[in-house]
Amino acid sequence: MRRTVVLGLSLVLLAACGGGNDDAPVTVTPLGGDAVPREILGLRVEVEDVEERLSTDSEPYVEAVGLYSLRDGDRLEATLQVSRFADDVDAEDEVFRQSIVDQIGSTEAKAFRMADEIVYLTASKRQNVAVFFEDRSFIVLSTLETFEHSRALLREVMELDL
Amino acid sequence: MRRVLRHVALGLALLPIATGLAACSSEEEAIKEVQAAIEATRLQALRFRYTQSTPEEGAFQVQGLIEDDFRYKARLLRGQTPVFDEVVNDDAIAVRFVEPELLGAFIDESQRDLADLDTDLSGVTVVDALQAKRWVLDPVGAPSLTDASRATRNQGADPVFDALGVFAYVEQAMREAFEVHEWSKDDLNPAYRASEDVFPRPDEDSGIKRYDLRRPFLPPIGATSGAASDALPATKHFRKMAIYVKDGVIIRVMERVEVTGRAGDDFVGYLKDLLEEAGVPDDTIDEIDDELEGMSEVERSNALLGGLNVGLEATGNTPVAIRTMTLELLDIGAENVEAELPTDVIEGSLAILQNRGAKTEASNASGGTGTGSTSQTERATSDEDS
Repeated sequence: MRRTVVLGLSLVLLAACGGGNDDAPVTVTPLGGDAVPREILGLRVEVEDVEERLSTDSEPYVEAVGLYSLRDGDRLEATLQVSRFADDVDAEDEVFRQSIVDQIGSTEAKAFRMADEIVYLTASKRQNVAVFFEDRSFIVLSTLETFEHSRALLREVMELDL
Repeated sequence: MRRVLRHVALGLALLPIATGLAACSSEEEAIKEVQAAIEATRLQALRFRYTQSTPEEGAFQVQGLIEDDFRYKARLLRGQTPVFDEVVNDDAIAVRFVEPELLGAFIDESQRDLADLDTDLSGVTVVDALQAKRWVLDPVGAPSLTDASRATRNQGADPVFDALGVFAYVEQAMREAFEVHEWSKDDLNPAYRASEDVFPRPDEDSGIKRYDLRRPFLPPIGATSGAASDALPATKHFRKMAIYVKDGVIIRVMERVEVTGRAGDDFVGYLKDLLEEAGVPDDTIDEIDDELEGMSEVERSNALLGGLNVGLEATGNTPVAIRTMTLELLDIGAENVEAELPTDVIEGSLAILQNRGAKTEASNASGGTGTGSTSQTERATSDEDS
């Protein structure tokens, strides 16, 4: 289960590094538990340690990253990654957004509308992956394929102020 | 008509692979406007009425609403008769059959011996409940949105999916068209000649713009190079589609796959050349011509395309999808468009229905995992089955 969490994190870093920005690396701050509620759709939210991973990657686009596990008891059901763009990033740029989406998951991401927002759905190994953008953040929600309420969870996450 | 079918089929079977003419777009602006309208419409909640008719299946209609891509309601009607209702709300789906006699056509045969049919009512199965016209709620059985098989399935295999996916279909049709052409009443070069233009013409002061898809030219007869997919007549060569836009959103799409009017005359000429190329004797071609002369427009269109399809299928090619389709969109952007689940329900898995419910794999049937979430592979399998 721990591997799933790490896999999720590595996806974020890949996306952030893949845009071709040659600027010097900036310091990436880990987001703490304050960024998310303690429980989402009845799942317990825990902050995962990302500091070690961050220290080995240059991050020209992202200034803060949070990784959270969502558990039903001890069972991991989902991971939530919240990445805040650096100030000089044009987070509204569609091409830039698409370049991030294109790097996440192992299948071509498809765009859908949930409420008033666009969410991109893709898949990874035994996971369903949803990606969406919110102001200066991009969020990746990975749910285990066996989790039966992935859409309800996604809707609840999209309603959060991340 | 049988003789026409036979000879047209023969001609197709003997037709050498020809080079298709590459479509080129001279009206980039029209494409952009329609594409922008599609994107804008996709972002809105709306009600819809989708009607499709084919010579084999007859007419059906899907009426419903889309709150967003994960929440919608749909009612399927055959002719004027309601068949079933469906509500999808995130992970959940509720279905009831208004005409339970038609339930059999929607059964997923691969699940007949595997699906968990138990409900929350003791002694009542999902099939019992559906036959009793009751709503059955499957809390985790909503159809997958991302299956590859959903995008590549045949039109008509699942009318509700057809209705919900109509914009993707329109976009595909736009890509296959020679060009997207804005209709104008004084147009000297309209996409469809007056003899074959059956689509409503917007009033000048209505604010409605109509965009027509101009068909690509038929592939030349006798050429022997080029991609096989462009070498034979296909649906795109016979598709007429009009897209109506008002205030930047799509309000209606109409499609007819047929050969009528002067286009029908042209196609008869094309077929004669084709048959000649295939070595069919002149007097036989004349006989066919005489037979076609006595037919009505619709009969002639069905005979020509039906014969063409026999030839296409005999040579392993995709037949022309002969159909008419109308999509009407209403209450676009309205606030009260909500897909709420019914409350008077019986709970159970809808895996017994095609494309619905979490499917049980044969290897899991005895393992008691039938209520597990549907994997991509499982859902793909279920869609293929339909």
